[in-house]
Amino acid sequence: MTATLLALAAATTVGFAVSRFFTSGLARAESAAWALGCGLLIHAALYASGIFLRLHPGPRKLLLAEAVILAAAILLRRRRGRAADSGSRRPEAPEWVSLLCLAAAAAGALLFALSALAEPMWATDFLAIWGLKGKTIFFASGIPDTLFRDPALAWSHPEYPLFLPLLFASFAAVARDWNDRALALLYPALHVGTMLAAYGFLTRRVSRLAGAVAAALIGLFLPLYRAGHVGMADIPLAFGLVLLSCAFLDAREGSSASVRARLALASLFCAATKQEGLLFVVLLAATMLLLPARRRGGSRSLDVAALLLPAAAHTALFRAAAGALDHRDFDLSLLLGERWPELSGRAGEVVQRLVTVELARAAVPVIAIALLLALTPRRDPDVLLVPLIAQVLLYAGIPALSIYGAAWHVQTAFARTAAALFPAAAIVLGARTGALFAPNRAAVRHGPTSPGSRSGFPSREKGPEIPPVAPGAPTAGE
Amino acid sequence: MSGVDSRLDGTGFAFDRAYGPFLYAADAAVPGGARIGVAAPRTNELYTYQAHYTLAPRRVASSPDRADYLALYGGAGPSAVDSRKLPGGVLLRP
Repeated sequence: MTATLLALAAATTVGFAVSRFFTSGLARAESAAWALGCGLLIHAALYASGIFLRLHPGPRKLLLAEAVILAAAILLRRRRGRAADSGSRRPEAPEWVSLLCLAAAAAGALLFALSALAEPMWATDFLAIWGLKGKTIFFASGIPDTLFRDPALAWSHPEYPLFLPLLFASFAAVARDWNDRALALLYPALHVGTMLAAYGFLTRRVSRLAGAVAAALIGLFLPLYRAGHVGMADIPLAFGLVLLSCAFLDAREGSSASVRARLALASLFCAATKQEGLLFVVLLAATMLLLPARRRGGSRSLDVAALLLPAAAHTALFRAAAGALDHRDFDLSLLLGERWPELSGRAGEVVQRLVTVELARAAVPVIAIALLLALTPRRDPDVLLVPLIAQVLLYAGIPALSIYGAAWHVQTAFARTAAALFPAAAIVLGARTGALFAPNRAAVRHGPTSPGSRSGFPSREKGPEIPPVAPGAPTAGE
Repeated sequence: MSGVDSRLDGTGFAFDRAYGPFLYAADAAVPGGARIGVAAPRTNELYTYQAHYTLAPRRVASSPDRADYLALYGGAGPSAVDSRKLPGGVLLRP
């Protein structure tokens, strides 16, 4: 476990050095989250490159490559102003409320870490998909064609992206051992990273309380962060979705090369983790195109390109490696006109299951969220609800095409996949809650501010300041 | 507690505590590059998933006639010259 912990620390350090090029201006907490995301991508990419070149990457080669990247990043680094203060400079709510929320978040993180590390990963999807592929890649020091073509492994979803298996294999390579308990360390790290991303972003853009509320919501979100999900792709995906959501909200306020780099990195993280991540990237791009934002500088088309190109590149690369694969989970012929009656019957089955089981089970939190949204003034992060709700609706609709039966698909996948969207939704909920306690309730700040700005926040990124928005005022394009 | 012990005692084998020792014994007995067939109950998909995961990177054959070794869980199996007893089963060379 020590080797895995050190490898994780090394990857995050490299990620920090590299992400400094595009995270200046962010709060410390969110910079740490970007460092983790960037570091994990670099670590997996180095390992994948090593096995592609048949170098049999082990601890020395991987750590040497990371040391080279670290040294290059330090040499190239340009100072772009000091790191942000992750705390608000003006009182918005009693400090003890924020501290209480942060304590709840910390307790949630500790609880999840204890449950995640209590035993080797055992989730069914870990054994059947992510862990099986990672273990195979690690011992083969390559990606055997059998992962895509072996009929005996048809149930292991050959069409799924390989970032997570490569991540497992890359950390196992550093430790020179497949230890499925030590590898579980990734999950508490990703949980904390998700909280830091949301907390840092909201502290910078709304208030410390908003960030603390979001961190507490994520920290204590047991439907996602529980032992049964350790080893699966939903927790890494939730981390990627939060990073992408933060970059997207920053891009709406003012685009820059740094923001586009963050969009690109998070887009790659999401698309490479799970197909649902690719779907979110596409929905976010559509939102970006359809809902014009209050902007300062930059180009919307460049932002959309930054969002879509990494995901497209990953898709093309995977297709080149795996060849054409049959997506056997769904029967798309149901979409043809002559089968619509059958499709409508399946849709009815899905709706019945969703209403009588899934929605009934989650009734209390869903009503609480609806009340919060109804009773609090609109905030800029609300725009995230557009792609998030669209994605939930697609999750609800897709089971009607399942070859395993609509009700079965809803039963096994809907709650889990929808839960992975909650941390991104917590950004909206945190912003709504935190803004309630702002002195003039107009404290939704827009991006980094300059040293002499009215809000008194330290400067990190250049660009014209945008005035605050009155509570309840619609944002541009709404 | 070693990694293997904690897996054997963990939630992953809670569906059948005897299956883990059988798989790990097969894992220790079969060479790394061999293809192995596993005959286990079909009452729970975890029998299949645990077999593939525990025995990886070996290929687990879907059909016994394509396997170098055959691990039979929960039964004595057919008599064979080249057989070896495992906890809860037997390992054969077809």
